[in-house]
Amino acid sequence: MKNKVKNLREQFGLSQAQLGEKVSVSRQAINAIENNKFDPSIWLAYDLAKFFNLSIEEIFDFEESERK
Amino acid sequence: MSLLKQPIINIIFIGFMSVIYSFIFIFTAGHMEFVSILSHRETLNSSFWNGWSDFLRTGNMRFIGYLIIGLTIAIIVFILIKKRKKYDEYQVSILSKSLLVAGTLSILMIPFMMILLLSDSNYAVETIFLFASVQWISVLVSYLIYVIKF
Repeated sequence: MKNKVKNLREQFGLSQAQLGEKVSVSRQAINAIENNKFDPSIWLAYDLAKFFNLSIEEIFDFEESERK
Repeated sequence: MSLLKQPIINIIFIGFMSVIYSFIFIFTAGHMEFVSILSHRETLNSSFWNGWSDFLRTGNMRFIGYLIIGLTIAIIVFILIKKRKKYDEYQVSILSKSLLVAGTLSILMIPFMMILLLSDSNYAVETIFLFASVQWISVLVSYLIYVIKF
């Protein structure tokens, strides 16, 4: 699923490891999400949205999702 | 699959399966009854299969058992050193996919081995041992790469 995690992370000046720490996942998980290799659970999506102070839909592009 | 989040569950699973495999490989190595069911007549004109059969007959399969024990200890040590927290959902998804592949291969091999045994029992034991060796060592090596990487 396409998402804006990479852009948002860079705007916040964080590394993948730092963002991972903020939402309690590994650097590899953040990397996989940014590269659209892994769709996070609703809970992780919620944690990311909460951290960036946005809604889930503003970060993740459900309209373009292959699962739709 | 949420059980896979716990490093201890991974240790128990890998440890338990490796104990069974290594016991089979070490205990049956050179065992007279086991040696007697191997293909002694060399009916197949294949240096690979006859070499593998010789390898099993001479009891060298115990070294596969030792290799399994060594890899398992390395995995457990890496888990204990590196992994104090639970695995996250991405890591669990990779682990579950790996186990799904290993499980699917095992399930597919059951009818394949039945066909093998029913159609021609020559070299069937050798084939089963080769599959068991390759399958479990592949699982252990991929697990080891996984615990080193994460």
